[in-house]
Amino acid sequence: MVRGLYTGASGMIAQMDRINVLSNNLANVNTPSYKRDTTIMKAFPEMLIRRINDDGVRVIPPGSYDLMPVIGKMGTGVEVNEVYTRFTQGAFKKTDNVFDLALEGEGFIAVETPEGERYTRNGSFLVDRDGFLVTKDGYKVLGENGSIQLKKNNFIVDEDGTVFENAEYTGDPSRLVSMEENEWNQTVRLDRLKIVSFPKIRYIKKMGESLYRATQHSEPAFVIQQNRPKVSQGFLEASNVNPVIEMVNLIEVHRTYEANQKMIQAHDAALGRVINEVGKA
Amino acid sequence: MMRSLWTAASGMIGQQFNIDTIAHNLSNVNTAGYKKGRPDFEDLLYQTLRVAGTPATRDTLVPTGIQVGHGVRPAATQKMYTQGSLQNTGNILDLAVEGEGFFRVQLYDGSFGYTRDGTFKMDANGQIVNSNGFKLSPEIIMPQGFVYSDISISQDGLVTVKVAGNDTPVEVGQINVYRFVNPAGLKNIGQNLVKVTSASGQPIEGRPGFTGMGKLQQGFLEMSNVQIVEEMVNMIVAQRAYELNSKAITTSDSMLATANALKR
Repeated sequence: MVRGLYTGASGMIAQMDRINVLSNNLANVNTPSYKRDTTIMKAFPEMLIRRINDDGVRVIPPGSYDLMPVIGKMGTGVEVNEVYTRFTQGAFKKTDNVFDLALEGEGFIAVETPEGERYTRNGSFLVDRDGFLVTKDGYKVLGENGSIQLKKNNFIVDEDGTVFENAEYTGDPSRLVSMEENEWNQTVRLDRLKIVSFPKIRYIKKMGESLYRATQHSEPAFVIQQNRPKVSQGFLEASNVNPVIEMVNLIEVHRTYEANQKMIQAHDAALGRVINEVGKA
Repeated sequence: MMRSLWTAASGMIGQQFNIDTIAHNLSNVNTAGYKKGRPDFEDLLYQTLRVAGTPATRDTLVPTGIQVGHGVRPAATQKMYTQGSLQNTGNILDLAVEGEGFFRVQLYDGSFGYTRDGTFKMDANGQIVNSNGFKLSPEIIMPQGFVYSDISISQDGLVTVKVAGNDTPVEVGQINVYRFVNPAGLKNIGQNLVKVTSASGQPIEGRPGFTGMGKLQQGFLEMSNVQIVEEMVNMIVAQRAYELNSKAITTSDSMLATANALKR
């Protein structure tokens, strides 16, 4: 049938995918460390159009399509090519909770899940009953030497992500520490947070639960040694979704969708005329 | 139908949950020993529309997949156990824990509840109970003929009282405080009480002021640690986020109407 019908439909479908991504951004406008997704579109393969049955130009040999003169290109619509995550920095939100960590700069904190190592920027951590630093879903946060066991009021995370503790109070798990009594007489380095990056950060995959995982294309994570992101204790990184941008996109999506619909209706009207009126005597 | 409808709906539900928590915090702004709750959100599962690494042509691979998220969900409501400010009440049986630790009370069913609310009272037997009549544990019972105004509770929890006609104070008992490795894992059961769960770990008993336990302050109450300004800002954010998500829903809706209008 008329090619334009399908071109218009492809536009509508692509805009629908866009609004799906947009509303996920809006739903996560309050999720710590959420990184917004953008939709990247690409044109369907374009076709080369040639002139046929033209008296002025001879087609030699007759019927040979390849030798017909070229008119130009014709597009056949659009499709979603990629959902691209923007890893721009989110704003810092002060929480005054010592277990909240925020990263400033590119990098991820490694956590241990049953499916393997995963990576997150959402630093709203807790200690579990055994004293391990865990995420909200109970996954252990990894240091460079494995999971991190610590006590409230007895650990400090510096900008580099190094975790210090006062050796005076380690050992006995039933000996808890209060902020006043801790004088940091025997400060020792406990571990350093495993802050990683990827050779090709664009290709890491979102897993939900604020987690990311490495893929074949992102290549395995490596621990950042130089230019480590700055770790801030007592802060959380807010979502980097900008409501203004998302609202403008929402309007744009809506109107583009309508414009494509109008195209389909125009084709429909033209077709209706051909079918119902041209044949009339 | 359109995925975005449900995605945005999850956003609205999440913000509703956010407002619920804020409202609870605000309604407890004057509750002694109340600790503010904070909702934490995380993104939901992602649906993969196109898998990365599948062949695009004979020689090349599709480098990136198409993943669409499904919205947001509340991951936890975390209680923030920061110190509330102390208010001088002058009431003899008002106690505040300055630092970390909970009082322990025995509930009707014999199990223990833990509380930061130190508004203790005395029952007809001269026993120290909390506002709901739950006995402070370990039990503290005043001797016969004690003088109420001479009850003294030291910073390390020692309770002494003078008996009428005698100037020497008598030792009545010792109030201990209890700490948990993960206080955020405690279960809130209302009445300013929390209970032990498998996430919080077992209680660790200690004398107030020693081994990391907080000190007791007689005649003081610990106020709620809710910050009005903070809650108001959170409320603004929650309301606007709710509106944003409703806009996504109305847009999806009118897009569906547009699709409907294709066929006249």
